[in-house]
Amino acid sequence: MIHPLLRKTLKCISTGLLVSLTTLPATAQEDDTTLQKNYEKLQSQFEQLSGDMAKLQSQIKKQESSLDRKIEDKLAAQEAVYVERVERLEATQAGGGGSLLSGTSGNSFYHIAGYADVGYTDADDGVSSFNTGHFAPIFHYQYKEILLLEAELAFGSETNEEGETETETELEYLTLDLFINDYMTLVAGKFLSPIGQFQQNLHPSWINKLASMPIGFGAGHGGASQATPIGDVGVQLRGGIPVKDMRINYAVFVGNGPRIIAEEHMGDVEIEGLDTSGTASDLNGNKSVGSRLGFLPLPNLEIGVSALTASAAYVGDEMISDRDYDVYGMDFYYAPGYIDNLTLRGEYVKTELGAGSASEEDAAKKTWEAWYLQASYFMDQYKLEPVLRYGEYEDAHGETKTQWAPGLNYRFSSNIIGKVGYEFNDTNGDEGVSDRFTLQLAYGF
Amino acid sequence: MKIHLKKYTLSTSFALLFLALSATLSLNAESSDTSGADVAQSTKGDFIRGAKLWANTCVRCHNMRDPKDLTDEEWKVATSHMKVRAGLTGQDTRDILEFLQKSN
Repeated sequence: MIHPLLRKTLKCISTGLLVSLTTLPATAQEDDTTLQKNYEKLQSQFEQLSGDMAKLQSQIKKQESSLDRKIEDKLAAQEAVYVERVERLEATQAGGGGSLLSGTSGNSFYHIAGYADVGYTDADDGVSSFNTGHFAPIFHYQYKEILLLEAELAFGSETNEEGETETETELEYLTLDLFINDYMTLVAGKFLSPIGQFQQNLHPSWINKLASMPIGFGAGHGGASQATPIGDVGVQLRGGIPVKDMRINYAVFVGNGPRIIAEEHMGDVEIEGLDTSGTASDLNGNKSVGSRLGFLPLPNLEIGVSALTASAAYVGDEMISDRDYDVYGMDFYYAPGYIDNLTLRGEYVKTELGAGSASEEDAAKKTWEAWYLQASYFMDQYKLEPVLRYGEYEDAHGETKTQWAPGLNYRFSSNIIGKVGYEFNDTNGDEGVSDRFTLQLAYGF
Repeated sequence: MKIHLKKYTLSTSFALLFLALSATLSLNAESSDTSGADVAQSTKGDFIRGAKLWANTCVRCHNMRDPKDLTDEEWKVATSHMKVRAGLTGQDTRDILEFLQKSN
């Protein structure tokens, strides 16, 4: 196949030769010199055209070669994408198989997620230690778009008073989530408390910006919860509702409620706090009822209000009866649009345990109150994220603790975080609290 | 006071359970006409809306995960989990899933 440009050139040459030949007889009478000149001129033109033609042929070959390479590269890239997708589909679908961490089985999909962390703390009273941290696998098993099974286990180890290391295993939550419609899900089982945000959404170590929980938001002596409830066993209705450009999310729940933890000290019985991790049965037949409403007037602003009421049960030989139990909370999240990667959040929670009758042990009304504010700013180019958190916690004995906690995180990736922090702790209580240096490596998977 | 509280909590409990049961029965009724999957997935996700929601919603709690971190099937389960945990609507969830599955 001859290139159009080449064909045109040959046509010109042949036409020129033909014209020259036909004019030769007419100019036969001219002298030899003129003929010779014309011949040489034509020959020169012919050679020039031949040269041009060779150049054009070379250029055409180069262009064709380059075009072929591009097409081949593109086809190879496309083929690689298809091969990858086919392999992935084969891995997740073929024969109901998949990887160890995820896969399909008929109409069900399963996936193991979770998080783990290890750390180091150095308190200014001289005690420093490495710690094994936690391993918390989360199992997700979903049937079509109808039901999701969620279960989180938590493994950790702790040194007891005798200096022995004990391994702790706990079922953090186990729920069956029935997707009723686009705006409502029924959640049944053992769940994390929807009061506030920290317990239900922010406590995993790869999410929490600092190595420790805000003061007052964890568990205290004897496993008693501090100002905020940890979880419950019951049912929830949860979901989100669009209101024009706004969003509202909600959680309404009914549960077994909390249990009072009391201990004897020097002959007096004292209420240490409440077990709110979720009692497996209702100890007093009184259900807890609570809710959280979250308002998102802007996509980067969420304001939440929570409340919970119950009758806290006491099971034991001491003279303590069931007490009224009430919790109120507020929380917010804000990411100002004018400063990229700046995140502000805060939370307030107050727990009240009603007074007992005069004949009871430790009959006084008790209050636990805590709040924190936190700012973090992610510097994308360095993968660094400075964090600053301030918190206050007042326990049932009126002892107030305050904490400044600056930190610097390094994001190895969005789900692998290295944290360096320092906690400036202060208290008005008799027992001093030491400042601490903390290191933690957290991985969300 | 305790008696009042008990009455209050029990009546509320029954009301909530009734509401949940009614809604569940409603789901079952719909499922008799169409498959369960069709009920919840009646509308397709939107890539652009999903990208915006992904950028605004996930960071409310945690760092934004790379869409390539999970496969299509894994994202399906993960977004169902987030629908419950973050109080997302079904449509928002489908939009985010569309974005993640197209971007991984």
